[in-house]
Amino acid sequence: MAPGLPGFTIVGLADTALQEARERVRGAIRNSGYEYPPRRITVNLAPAELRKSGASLDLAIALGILVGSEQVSANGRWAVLGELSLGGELRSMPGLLPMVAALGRRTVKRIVVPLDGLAEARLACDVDVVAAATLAEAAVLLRESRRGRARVQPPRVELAADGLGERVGSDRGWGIGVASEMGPDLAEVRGQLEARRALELALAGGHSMVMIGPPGSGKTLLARTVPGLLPALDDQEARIATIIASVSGSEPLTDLVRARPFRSPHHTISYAGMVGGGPLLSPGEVTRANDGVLFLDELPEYDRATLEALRQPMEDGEVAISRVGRAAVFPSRFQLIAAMNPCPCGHAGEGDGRCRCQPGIVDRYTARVSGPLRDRIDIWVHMPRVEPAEYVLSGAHEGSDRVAARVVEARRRQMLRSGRVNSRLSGRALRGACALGQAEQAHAVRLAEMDGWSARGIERLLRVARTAADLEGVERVAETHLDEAARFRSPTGRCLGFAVAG
Amino acid sequence: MLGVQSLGPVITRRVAEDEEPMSATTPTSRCPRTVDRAAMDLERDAWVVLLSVTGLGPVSFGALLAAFGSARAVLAAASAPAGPARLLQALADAAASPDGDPAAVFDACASAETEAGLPPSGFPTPRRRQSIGADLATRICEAAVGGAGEVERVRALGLTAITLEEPEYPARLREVELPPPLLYLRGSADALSARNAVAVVGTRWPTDKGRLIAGWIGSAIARAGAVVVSGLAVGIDGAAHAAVVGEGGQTVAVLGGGHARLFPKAHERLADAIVAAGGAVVSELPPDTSPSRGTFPRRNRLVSGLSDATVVVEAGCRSGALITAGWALEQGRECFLVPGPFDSPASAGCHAFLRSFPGQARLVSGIAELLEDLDLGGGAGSGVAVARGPGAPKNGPSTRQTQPGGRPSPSVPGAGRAAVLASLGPVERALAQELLLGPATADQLALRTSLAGAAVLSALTLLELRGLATGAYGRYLPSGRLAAWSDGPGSRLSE
Ligand SMILES: [Zn+2]
Repeated sequence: MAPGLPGFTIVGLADTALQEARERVRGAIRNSGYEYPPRRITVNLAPAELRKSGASLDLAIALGILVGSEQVSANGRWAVLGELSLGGELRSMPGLLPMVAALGRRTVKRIVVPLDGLAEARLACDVDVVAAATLAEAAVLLRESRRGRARVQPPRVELAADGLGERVGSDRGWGIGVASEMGPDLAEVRGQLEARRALELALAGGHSMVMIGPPGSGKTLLARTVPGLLPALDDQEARIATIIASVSGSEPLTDLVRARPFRSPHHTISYAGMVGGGPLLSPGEVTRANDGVLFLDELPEYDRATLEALRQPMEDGEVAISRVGRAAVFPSRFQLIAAMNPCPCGHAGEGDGRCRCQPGIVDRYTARVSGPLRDRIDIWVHMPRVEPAEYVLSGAHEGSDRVAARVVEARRRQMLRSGRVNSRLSGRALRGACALGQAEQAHAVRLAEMDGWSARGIERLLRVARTAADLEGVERVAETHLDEAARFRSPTGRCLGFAVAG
Repeated sequence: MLGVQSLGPVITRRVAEDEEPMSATTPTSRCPRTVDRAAMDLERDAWVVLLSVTGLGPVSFGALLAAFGSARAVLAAASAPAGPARLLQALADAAASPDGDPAAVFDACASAETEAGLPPSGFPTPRRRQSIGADLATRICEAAVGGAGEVERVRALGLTAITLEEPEYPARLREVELPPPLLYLRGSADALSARNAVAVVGTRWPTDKGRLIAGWIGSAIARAGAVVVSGLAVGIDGAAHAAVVGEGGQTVAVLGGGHARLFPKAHERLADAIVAAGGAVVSELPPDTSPSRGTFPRRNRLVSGLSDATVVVEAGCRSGALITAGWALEQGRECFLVPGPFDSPASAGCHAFLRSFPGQARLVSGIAELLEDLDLGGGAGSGVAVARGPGAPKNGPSTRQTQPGGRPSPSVPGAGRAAVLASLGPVERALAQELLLGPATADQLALRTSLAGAAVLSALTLLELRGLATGAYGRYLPSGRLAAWSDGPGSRLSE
């Protein structure tokens, strides 16, 4: 702050949102009963080479001006976070939780956060967090440090955690059990014997799955049962999920995220929306579905580049995004579940001659799910239309609870054996986990040859067979498991080809 | 000059339209020539080169042969300095000659569609004709210089060219009006000239039942020792071909494009299987010709022309299979149609055709009845001559007695299926029996057999792996030996 013509400069690579801070800060100071100093103000953001963005520094800038102009005195070492309105109110912003956790690691023990973000900030451990609703309140807190803390005491959900997950945690024990937010129950899905089984396999082993069926065959309904079939997140997963939710959320969090993510972005989603990016380097759907399920309805309708972009995150379990001068790596260990029509008109395979799609068009339709992505899908299942008469005749179906119990048990076996779900096994680890006998090995090769599979195809077969064995509760993968895995193989050259002709 | 004689009907196509096709009255003029083999090879190569020229259809090709005596002579003339002028003159002479309809020469140049022998949509004006003729002459001259590549291409693709002059050319096809001068063949030439051949065709969008019936008819005909001819399309065609291959029988696939542009791609494996089983894949178009709207109706005329009779399994109102049926009648061959429910769009074309051609188009009332009508029913596989409708031309003396080879001796009807069923476990057998009644989903099978879902799924897997069932889009059909027609014991369908 210097004498001279009144002015306000921000130096140190600030983005537009930050440049606009001067208006918000000026308005907030005036509307909070303080005087805006008629001097030349320079705000220096360090480190200089790092681009800063967003409005999270509003409160710090405003308080810096007030302290600098001696209207407010600070008592001790503080960190302040929050976005200001022109009227002087404080608001929370995305990413509050990891910022608080990071400050905690830097031994800043007292942090002022916006009141609406208090519950979220308190998910971080070992940090004294106090809340203010306005700039004026924050100024008071700074001056009367101890008193302010006593004023707000919401229940705390926290726990000393190890590592970075880091300073976010909870003591609720192992999250095996079923997540609370559930969709429809499996018993509500009519028929679809094969798809039910395919879904159980997919969830038990974390396998990516594609359902192919005409409109109205129940693909979307089946997909919506997924949250009710998956175990809740364990502690480590919950910490990561909570941070992701904080960074990408528009609403401040109140509690640790325990439900396994189930994301279903519409097919109009942008590339950045899917993989992440944008001006704030926000996480995309692949990250928001981390440790959960990414459901894509009408798979071929998604932008081709967007679908292509799923490959790397699926393979690596993380996604690197960058924008001029900045880069970030987000986790993206999601399970892909997708649905699609069998052909553009949707009626292929109904056996009544209604589908009039040219074979070339059908090929092109399925080819939109490009080969490399197709290779990474372990389970393919067809869902034929269910006749109304079958609705009436078919007996009661198994409910979600029983299937979920089997899924949890199968996952437990996998974690004990290899520390990861079967879909993340490959190479020697996979072969070791399958422990095929000679007969079974020969059988696997025979199955693979039937469809002219690549090495990747054989791995796919083994992974799914391993899961089938886990669901049955046996350690050795047998021929029947391989057979079942083969049943859910890719339809390429199967629906349209020789096999159908015969 | 024999070549010219055999092309007689080509040149006189237009004038002969109201009369009996000349081809029917002059079969005896075509006896195999005893010519030096090497000269024959050279002449065949010349045909390959000439007929690869865009716009040179059977009509103008016939005119050139008539003027120069042989294809080699045409090419020799075209390579000479005054080549284009001489060719143009020959084309114009043919147009002006009393035997030739001037329009016929030039309309053949106009487009692939008109070459198909379809009614031309309109004759080009004289000036336009002149320029077409000149363009054509230029292209022929270019081909004469660089044509060796085309011969090489045919060879490299493993194709055999058969000209209308050669004894290998199928006699049945020689009889039709405007036979294609050249056939490109992959596989066995025997299959083209088998004693009995029946076309089985239908819609590309069949019902499951239609697919099943096509398979039955295909396998029944194959077992009776006849060759099944079809168009390799998806749907009925593919089902018929595949059933024959499943029986180890011979089947002929006629392509709508060139061999190098096999369509549909999904049937590449089927085409390989057809050739491997001793059948043939054949096209009248140069190997790199893309299939197009016009080439399919043209192909259909070959399907019926290569067969004694044509059976349409399912056809919608505008199905190409009806064009094949129409060709069959026009070529004096028998034509059968499988009726379906009158409200099934996939059968509407069959019904309409039956109504339009009473007394000519015949009804298929069952597999056994069809075999009887085709005169294939007698002793299984005895290969009795196929019955012909009144007025149909008799087959000319076959240039060679073809013994369809590589086919297993016909089995006792029904024994195969009974043995298959007997070899299955109780759950698989129950499902197989259900599938024989018609295509079904896993849910439907579980419902009808009252078996547990898991048991149904694993039994289906077994059936699929043994090749006895095929799943497509979540519905299952009998396949392989289970799909073959059977009227013996072990078939609930025969009850
Ligand atoms: Zn369709």
